[in-house]
Amino acid sequence: MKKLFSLVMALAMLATMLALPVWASADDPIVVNVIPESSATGTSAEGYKMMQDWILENTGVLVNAIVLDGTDDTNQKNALLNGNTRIDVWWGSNWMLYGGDNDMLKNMKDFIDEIPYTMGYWENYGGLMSVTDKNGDVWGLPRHCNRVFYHTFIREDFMQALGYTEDQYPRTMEQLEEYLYKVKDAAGTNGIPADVIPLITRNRMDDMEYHFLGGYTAYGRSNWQDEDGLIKPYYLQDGYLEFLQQMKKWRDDGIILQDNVTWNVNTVREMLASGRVAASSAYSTDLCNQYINLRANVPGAKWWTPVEGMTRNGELMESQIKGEPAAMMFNKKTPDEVVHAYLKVLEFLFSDWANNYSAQVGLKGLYWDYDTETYGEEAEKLHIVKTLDSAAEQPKYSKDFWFSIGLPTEADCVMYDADGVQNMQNEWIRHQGDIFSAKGAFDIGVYYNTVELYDRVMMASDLETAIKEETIKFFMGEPGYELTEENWNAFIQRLYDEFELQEYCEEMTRQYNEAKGL
Amino acid sequence: MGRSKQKQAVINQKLTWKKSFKKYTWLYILLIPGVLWYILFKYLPMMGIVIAFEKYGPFTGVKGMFTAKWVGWYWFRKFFKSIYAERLIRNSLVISLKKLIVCFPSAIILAILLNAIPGTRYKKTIQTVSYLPHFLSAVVVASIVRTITSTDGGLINLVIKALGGEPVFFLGSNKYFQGVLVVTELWKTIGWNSIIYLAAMTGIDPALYEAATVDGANWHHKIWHITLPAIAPIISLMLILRCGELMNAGFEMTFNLYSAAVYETGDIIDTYVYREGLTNMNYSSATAVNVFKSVVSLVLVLGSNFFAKRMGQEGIW
Amino acid sequence: MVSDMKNITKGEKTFIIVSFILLGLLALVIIVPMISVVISSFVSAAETARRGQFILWPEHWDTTAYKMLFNSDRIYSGYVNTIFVTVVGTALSMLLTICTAYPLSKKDLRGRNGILAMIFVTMLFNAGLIPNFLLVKELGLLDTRWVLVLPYLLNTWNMLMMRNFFYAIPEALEEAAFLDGANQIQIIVRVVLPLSLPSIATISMFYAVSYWNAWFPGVMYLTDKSLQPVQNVMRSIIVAASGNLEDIGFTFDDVQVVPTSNTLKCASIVITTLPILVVYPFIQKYFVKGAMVGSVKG
Repeated sequence: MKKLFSLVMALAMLATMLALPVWASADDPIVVNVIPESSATGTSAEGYKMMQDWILENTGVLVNAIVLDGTDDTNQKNALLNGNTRIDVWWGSNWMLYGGDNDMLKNMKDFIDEIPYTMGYWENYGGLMSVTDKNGDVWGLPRHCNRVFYHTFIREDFMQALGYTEDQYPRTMEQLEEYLYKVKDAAGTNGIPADVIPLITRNRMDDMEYHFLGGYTAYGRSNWQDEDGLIKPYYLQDGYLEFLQQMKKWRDDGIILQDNVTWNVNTVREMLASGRVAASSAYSTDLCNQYINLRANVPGAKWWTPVEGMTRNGELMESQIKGEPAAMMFNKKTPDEVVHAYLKVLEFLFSDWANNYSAQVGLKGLYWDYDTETYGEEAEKLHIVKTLDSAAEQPKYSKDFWFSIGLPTEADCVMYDADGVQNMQNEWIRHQGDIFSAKGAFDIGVYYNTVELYDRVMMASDLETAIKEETIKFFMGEPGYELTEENWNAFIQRLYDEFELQEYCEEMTRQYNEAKGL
Repeated sequence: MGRSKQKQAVINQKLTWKKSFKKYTWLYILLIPGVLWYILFKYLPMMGIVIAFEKYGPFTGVKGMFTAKWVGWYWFRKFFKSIYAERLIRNSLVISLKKLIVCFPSAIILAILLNAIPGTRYKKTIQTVSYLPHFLSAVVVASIVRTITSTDGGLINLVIKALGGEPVFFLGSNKYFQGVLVVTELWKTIGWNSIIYLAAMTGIDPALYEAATVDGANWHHKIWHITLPAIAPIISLMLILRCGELMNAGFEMTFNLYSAAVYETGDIIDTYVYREGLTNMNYSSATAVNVFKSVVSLVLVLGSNFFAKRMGQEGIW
Repeated sequence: MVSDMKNITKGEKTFIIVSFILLGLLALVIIVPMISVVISSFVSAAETARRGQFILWPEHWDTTAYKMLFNSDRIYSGYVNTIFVTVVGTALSMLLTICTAYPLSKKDLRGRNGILAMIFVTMLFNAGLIPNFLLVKELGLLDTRWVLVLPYLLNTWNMLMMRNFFYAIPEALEEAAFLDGANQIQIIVRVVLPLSLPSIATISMFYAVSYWNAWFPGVMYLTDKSLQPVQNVMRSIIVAASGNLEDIGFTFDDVQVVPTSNTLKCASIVITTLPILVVYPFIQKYFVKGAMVGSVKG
């Protein structure tokens, strides 16, 4: 009997736990559940409450920001979207994954007019088309646009140690190569470290392609169209092999370190902060964000890059990144009044730049303020900000309620580091819009529906994976992957035979023509 | 002999349903929660396998299972055509075989050594220590492995450096990753796996060993002629059963130790299913691959059990 | 193989000595990594910077890493969750296991073979990750504490082992109680259970260890950090690429010099493993006995 009783108790407990409802009274503010884009960055419970109350006071809306852990965050997001709480807003790298059969998104077409300030930011960047489908329905708020962030940065202090004058700074591929070999030979002299890393990259071919491919092929790192009107991917261009051979030569000659391909993001950042790197074709944010640490390690360190872009044989080497269909997405099941409430919050955050910045780092006056001391009235106009000393005593807060719409807002301020130097990330982020300094993608403005692509071409995703994995093997010169024309052509032929490359191209062409109205 | 057999027959005589219910009413009631649990958590998910034959959208819920488009063998075909199939199957089998070749005999050798030495205190201490890793969770063991193989203060690399070598990033290198998995498995299981052999060895009559000593037998004679024959049936049984699990290369360890850099040699079917399913949200594709693996495993298990029974052992049931 | 060292061949004597050494080495190989981790957790950042990366014995046993971890409430919530899951899980599991194993130990129970067959099939074939995930989702268990318990209540091996233990109980005792007028339930409570206490203890411990060590359900089903058991908290720490614990939701105030990420990881390993290590010497003999019996009976 005792056993039965405890069994019943256990079942009762079970029932209660499973059935806990959320009772909302009529007077409560509207609640919106958001998964913000950034992962956890150490916000304390008080900091979170403070910002949540701030938004509540100013808009009457209670926003729950469900911040993800840095590890497994894609899994977590999917689990949350599948879970019991209704998630109203979230960010994703491709809205098409949630549309279509999944039918999870709310059509935002009629809501756009409510957020003039927010959308105003996007006017110059043309982001809206990345979230609009062929029927004109809008499935989210834009997050990306065409951007340039693969400048090759060079250490100015190294160049000076080698005796370069400013007009000799590398602006072409030939000059860059000369510099790299010089730096390698000069290792251990003149202040150049003995373990210098002439050129650092990320552990994949993409970064090198975006940096240099434009100098070897007609279209750079972009899809292109052959004489028969077939859209083909970038690696089928004439000149790609030559590019690959050049990169491999650099690796064989020690310009790019052997181990570089095994370094993960954090190792690359550590290297950039250590002072060993003479030139970088890694992701420029890595470099910019580490600049403070670099300066702490090597006080005279300074980075330089030709703003107008580097060239090879007169061609721009860098390729623009085509805007992805990333978006701020809204749940179809969210009632309209909740959407209105959230959009009110967005407008609040974007109507005044100070609000947006506060959502990022904490309240104005407590954590930061315009640096009118040093820069006078201009500070407020140009959004020159500084962190306040009182910030150290405030509860920790960072980014939980920062609902980013990307580049437009990030580029809209000026920040200086403690020693009066403009924060490098802040300085360079505005250059991400310098589309004159890099080759534009051939199919700019066309957003391929990857869901349809994978649907219709069975091997599409495997093809893309194969490219990533195999090109890097050629780069590394693994056995069986010697970089001869023969091997490369055999590889391409294999793509046609085993991975349906022809069907892939035909499907892309079909989508391209449809998008262009042909 | 005959009498007990008759008695057995009486006891095993099946009751009729009515009689059984009457005699065992409460027991049937006790069985209900357990049976319900099996139905709910084991059989109900089996129905979910249908999505391996459909184009199932991840967020469409149970309804989606009925409304999704039927595509038959599409995902299976796709898997086998892709470069993944060869790599995953190869990795799963190779890792599993490597583990078998290294860990299986080692447990036996450990048992033999423990059995060979006199005295009990030393033996018991060694045994206690050797079982310890079995009680650590896979995450803890993986964490220990990560820490001691790290290039940033890890024990192993420091030994290598002291010997004049270059530090190696074991967990990021395709050359060494499988080796790390095998050694970790050895570390974790050698003690626990030796128990069953030791248990069998306790049944050996010490008089046999004494007689052998008197006859002037050396240690290898004793092992070869006394110890091994006594545990040979157990060895065969364990080997056969282990072969039934050939497709399981060890998800927990691999999952906690692998990274994109070592997919080439470290990605096994189970880890691929996890990634495809939960991260990339290709539920149908992941389920199809899992179905394939489960079917192969099933065949292997049934086959190995059949062989075990043929050998006169009991098998799992 | 020997009971005393007399009269054995010289070769065997050597063999025995070598065996002693090999076994000792094995024990070392098993213990040393764990010790290395413990030591690493006490090294301060300053000392690492000064003395280089590997330190055999720290000059100063710095407990900053532990202070940091204990200051954050994630470790505490981790333990609360783990203890809840282990205690409640083991209790419910044992309940369910006994309730299922006992009836199945009655050989003349009609329908027994059918149920056993049904259970056996589940051992051979498993639906897989996604169907299980979908089931949990449909039951609304995602992000609840019960998701770490309910799908894992019954372990078939344990249940069959329990059934084997019940076989060992003499029929005569049960029959005697029956003749005294007890019904089935009373027989179980008054006769069977008291006699089965050792096996109940053993099987409970099997369950307890597997609940304590479970980490994968947390990875698959939990996003709410406050629900994570301590294994998952530790996994977050280990896997956090940058070693920057703030990125995974830890908050720290007043930390003078943050220990290196390696030290923090080692400290978290120690914190998670300590309970098992403490309890281990006392419970290991139960396990070994249970494993031996279980293996013999198949």
